[in-house]
Amino acid sequence: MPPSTSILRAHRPFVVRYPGQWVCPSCLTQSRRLHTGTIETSHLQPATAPPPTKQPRPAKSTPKVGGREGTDSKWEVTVGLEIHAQLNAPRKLFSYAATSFNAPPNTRVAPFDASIPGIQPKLNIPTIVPAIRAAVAFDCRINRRSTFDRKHYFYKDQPNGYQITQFYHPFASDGKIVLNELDGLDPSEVVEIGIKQVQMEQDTAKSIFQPSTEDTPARTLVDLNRAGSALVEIITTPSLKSSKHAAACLKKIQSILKASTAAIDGMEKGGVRCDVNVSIQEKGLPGLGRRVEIKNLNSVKAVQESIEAEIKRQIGVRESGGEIEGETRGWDAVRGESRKLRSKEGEVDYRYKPDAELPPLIIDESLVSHIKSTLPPLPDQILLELMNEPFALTLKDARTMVDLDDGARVHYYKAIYEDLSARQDVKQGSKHLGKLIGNWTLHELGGRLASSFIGWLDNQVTAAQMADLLSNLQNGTLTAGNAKRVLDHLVTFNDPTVRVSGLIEEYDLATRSLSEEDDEGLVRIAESIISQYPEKAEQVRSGKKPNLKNFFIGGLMKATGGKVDVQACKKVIEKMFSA
Amino acid sequence: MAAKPIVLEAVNCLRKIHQRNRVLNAFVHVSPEQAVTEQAVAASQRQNSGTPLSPLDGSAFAIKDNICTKDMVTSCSSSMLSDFSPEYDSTVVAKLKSAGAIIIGKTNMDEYGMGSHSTTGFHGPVKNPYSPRLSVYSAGGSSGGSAAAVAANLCFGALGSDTGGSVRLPASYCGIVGFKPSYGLLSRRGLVAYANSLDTIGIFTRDVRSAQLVFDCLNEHDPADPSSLNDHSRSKIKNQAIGSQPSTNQSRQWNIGVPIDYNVAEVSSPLKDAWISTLATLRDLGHHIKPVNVPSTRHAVSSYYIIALAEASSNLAKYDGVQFGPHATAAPKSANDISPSLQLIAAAREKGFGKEVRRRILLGNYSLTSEAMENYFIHAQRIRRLIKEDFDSLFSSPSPLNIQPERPSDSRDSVDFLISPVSISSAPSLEEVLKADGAGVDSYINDVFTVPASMAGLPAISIPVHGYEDLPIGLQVTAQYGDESRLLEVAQLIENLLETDD
Repeated sequence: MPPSTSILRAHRPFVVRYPGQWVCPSCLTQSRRLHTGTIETSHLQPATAPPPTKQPRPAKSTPKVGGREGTDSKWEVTVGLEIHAQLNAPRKLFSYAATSFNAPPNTRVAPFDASIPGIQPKLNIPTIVPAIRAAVAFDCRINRRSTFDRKHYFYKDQPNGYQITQFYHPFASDGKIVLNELDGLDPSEVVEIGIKQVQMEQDTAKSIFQPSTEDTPARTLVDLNRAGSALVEIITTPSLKSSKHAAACLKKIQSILKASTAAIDGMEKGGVRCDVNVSIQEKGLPGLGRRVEIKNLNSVKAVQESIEAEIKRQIGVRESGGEIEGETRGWDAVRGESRKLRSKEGEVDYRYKPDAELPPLIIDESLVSHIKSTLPPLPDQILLELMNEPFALTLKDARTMVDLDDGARVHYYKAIYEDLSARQDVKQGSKHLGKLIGNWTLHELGGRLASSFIGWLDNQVTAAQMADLLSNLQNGTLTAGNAKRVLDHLVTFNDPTVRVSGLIEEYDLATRSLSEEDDEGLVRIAESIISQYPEKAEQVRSGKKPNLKNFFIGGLMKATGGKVDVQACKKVIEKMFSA
Repeated sequence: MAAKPIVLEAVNCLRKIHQRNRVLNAFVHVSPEQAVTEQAVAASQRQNSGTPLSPLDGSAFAIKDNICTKDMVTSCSSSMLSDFSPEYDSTVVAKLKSAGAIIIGKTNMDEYGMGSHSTTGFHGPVKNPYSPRLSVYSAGGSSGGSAAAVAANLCFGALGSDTGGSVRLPASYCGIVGFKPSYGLLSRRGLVAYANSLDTIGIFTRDVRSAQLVFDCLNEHDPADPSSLNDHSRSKIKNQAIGSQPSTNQSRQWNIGVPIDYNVAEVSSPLKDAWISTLATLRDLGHHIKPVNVPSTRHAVSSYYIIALAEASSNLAKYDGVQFGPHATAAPKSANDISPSLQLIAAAREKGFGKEVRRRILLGNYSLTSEAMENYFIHAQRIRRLIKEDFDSLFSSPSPLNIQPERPSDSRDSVDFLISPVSISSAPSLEEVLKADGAGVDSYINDVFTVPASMAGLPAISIPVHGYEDLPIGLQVTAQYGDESRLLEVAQLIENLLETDD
């Protein structure tokens, strides 16, 4: 039973309501966005992950050690995740120091963060806003009253000797996330994963080991900048049945955290960290088996591989007649194996106790409903929207678009779509507008930016320029090839003031118009080409080699410098041979 | 007050400290003479021009060494903090300074406040100023230095901290007024935490009126202390106090409770006599004396030690040799199964903490382990709630902290105050204290009278009633939460009785 908090509440709890001056979700998110730096493309889809030299990608060969897990084997696998995410909050959880991840060491430290004796915690109320956004996005019940507890352990990156967390009465519980086809599961599979609780807690400091030099012995340096920053810990129920589901779940949790703007940095930047619990049990037997915890996993790959290896290890132990020990293990990503950190007996007893001086946190329903009504669309909603009319993107393109640049690519895409579909001169229907824009935004523009090493934040090609470009493509002014040439220029100039029409004019890229007058000009050029190759023309006329028409069409295009649309050339050549 | 010229007063304090502190060991740091004189001169000028900052302008104050003072070492009498010089003033010290008070020095104490005789600190024991030549008596603890300083006239007043009696007990042993206000009224910002749900800033003075002046100076909401009572609740207390004022000018008839559970066998007979004679005089003045039961107090001391030590084990976890305390550079013998970095921490904590502190941390840590939590810590929290409910059912006024409306109190049974001893006897000799050191938790019996008010967060004051011939002894008055104004009123009444007795 959780202990009652101190009876001596010589003070009233924090009651947090909306509206309040401090609630400014957009400010909170913007301030961090600016600092996220250049995008890392290595983990993204091929569209923007350009190998500078066009070598064939080596076939990905992840050894499927756990391929049989939970399906045809006699073992039932159960996995639970504990995910820590840095909240998108401008200040730390219990001090006024600014949240920062790049500042020089020990420059974002308030006295409380440095555990100065006599200094007390003071809840920074705005930090709970992104936490509530996350919990709402996970479909949690927001508990009106929650309390803070201390979790004790000694470590040099833990200046107070304890972490303030919400062990007994978290602010949110009983949520869920649904995994389905959109998350890479088989179309028939829909899995619901329970979220046991979401709690707020403090981050630790960073300790940096420094090997010995000529002047100094080996030592550990402590940087308190991160100490006391606000985290949410998200604990799933032990209900994941495979490493694949665990990986999908982790990815989904990350994308929901990002979409809800609760957390900005993902695992690749250390903004999200994950511990997993793995147990196996013979099918048909009650219980889940003894759980083994693997700590501090820092990528989805590490999570998936460590679970696979752990399942294999546990099955090995059980099948050779051994018992699984409750223990904590660490993952060595390089060697692809885990090693024991401590056994159950050596387990740390965290001596959880209610914090005696922090009042309970009361979250008023008005704030929760405000956050619910202003929650940005979540990844599944965005995906489905992009996959449906009028956009009609494939799942793969929609997924890529959502995953890129914290969703900025989706906004860009929609801006182009809105601009284009409002124009009178855009032919609807000849080619699907949504798909066309998708292709040009992701692959044509994305590929060019990537190969020029331009990050998305530095992309100067505006949505309006893209709309101009695609409008000219749609109405036939530009051939596809010339449209790509114009885009090359736009990316190279990297200048939002450059006009597409100006480029077309300057480089004389416009397709010959198909008026009668120009038609005659084309006919004249075609006549001269045909007369240069009488034998080939004869073979076409006689019907022996009708495909040679393409030779003449190509010749005509060449002669007109690519300015004449292929359809127009074809029409002229057809006309001449049918005459 | 302030009849004597301020400058002379301040200089006298310094002179007396230099004369007597070598024996008393009350001060562990004394402010430089030049700084003290300059402040006294400035205060004196304000006084002469009729613009004193407050009634305390120019008075000399001693501060217990666990209350942070800017640029003045605040060691908690622990070698763990022997070089901790805070960069800030605690809120209470800042308030005293802005009222014109002169901080004349820091006072000795039990290490981190853990003790009842001011003997466990690394500065050595404090001596009771009343000690006759041949034997040396305990000044009480843990705020013994502050109590001795005031009792020996080395300053006007002093601040201490009271977790389970650490202000009231030394006040009683030293024959002065020791006042522990309600938990949450005086800011704890800058008070180095021992057991932070119990720690309360306390006031030492030689008379009740002075204690009132200091209390009024410090009694304000502090947003930097999350347990500081907010303005809303403070105005509720104020309104309640105004409501209880008698409509006419007639003298009041108090209902005074005598907790019969407190009449334990260990109470010494001179103390019992003082207790009874004070009650008899009050009865003769027309006040009603009523025996009352506080059954939960039987478990108060054991529950208190579980809660206080559990909190201490948590609050003292930060002293790990990394940022504070002796920094061990090499691990001693390699203990199997313990990582090298943990060994360094263990070595630093063994070296930096004294024996009593280590004992209390171990006990506290044990009570929080998953196997012991339910039987100890959670059980103790339940008893704490019972204690508070017991008190609430005794007092005529409801606690202003209670949310639900109180049942109308039965005026026949309810009381306005409780009067009890502070300790089981007057000060023991230091020799006895040091001999009993090995007795472990047995010595904790001395806290039986002071701990209940701490557990319930109630205001309590120790008033000297037996300050002549023999060693001094104090009686304790306890009141309902926030009922400071009436508490100080009755304290003054008892103080006056003593003066007429003389």
